[in-house]
Amino acid sequence: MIPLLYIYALSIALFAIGLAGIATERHLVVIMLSVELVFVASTIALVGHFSYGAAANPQAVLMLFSIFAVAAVEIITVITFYVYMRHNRIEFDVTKLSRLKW
Amino acid sequence: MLDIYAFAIVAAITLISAIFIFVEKKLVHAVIALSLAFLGSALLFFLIGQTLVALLQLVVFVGGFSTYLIVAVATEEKTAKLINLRNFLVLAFILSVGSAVLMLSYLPTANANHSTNFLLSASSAFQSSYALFYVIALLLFSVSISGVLIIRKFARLVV
Repeated sequence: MIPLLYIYALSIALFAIGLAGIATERHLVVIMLSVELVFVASTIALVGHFSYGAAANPQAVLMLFSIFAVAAVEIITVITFYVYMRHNRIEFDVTKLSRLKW
Repeated sequence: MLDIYAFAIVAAITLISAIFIFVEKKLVHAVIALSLAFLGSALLFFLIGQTLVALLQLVVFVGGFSTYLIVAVATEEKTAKLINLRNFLVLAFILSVGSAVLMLSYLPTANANHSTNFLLSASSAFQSSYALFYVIALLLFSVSISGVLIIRKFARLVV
């Protein structure tokens, strides 16, 4: 049986990698990919927490599906941004973004 | 004991592929690394004993999102590196240690011998708050449609 501590440790490490990526990366799409990484880390923490110890809880299912939904919305947003910026030859460097309006 | 070794292998795959997202030069390789991280998390759920969540992760994330992303960025040329890897690694280390110290001080007392398949409570969750599921579905639907409309308006790629 895997100790809960190990699962938390993996989740913390993934979360930190994603957060560091958001803070230091300048490519818009890669920033979005690191947000996905943060979602994966939170999913691991949630599933680990409710698998061990905590009783079966309907709220956990709601939280899990909410995370999945937000991740899906984020993927759709990434692809929309990517196609729009690529087609209009806008740079992906977020520090140089100045025209992203309607 | 075999579980621990399997967990170590899966954790190593997940963490290395997560770091490779930022190391890779091509965007499509970064997306493939992300899908490997998704696969690693699905394997982890399988190891924990949450087979249904592992299947969901495989079908939704690895099968759906990753394929969608890979197809979208497949034509991307070699992209310029826009990250300072040294800063990234230092910040990731500091954040890992800091959040580990913070989180471990609030670690709940868990009974390691008790494992529940918490998706079994999905039906009661649906009965008690089915409106939230409809909100989630509506959110996904509206974002998909607006994404298609934005791409069609600006890029004229979708006919």
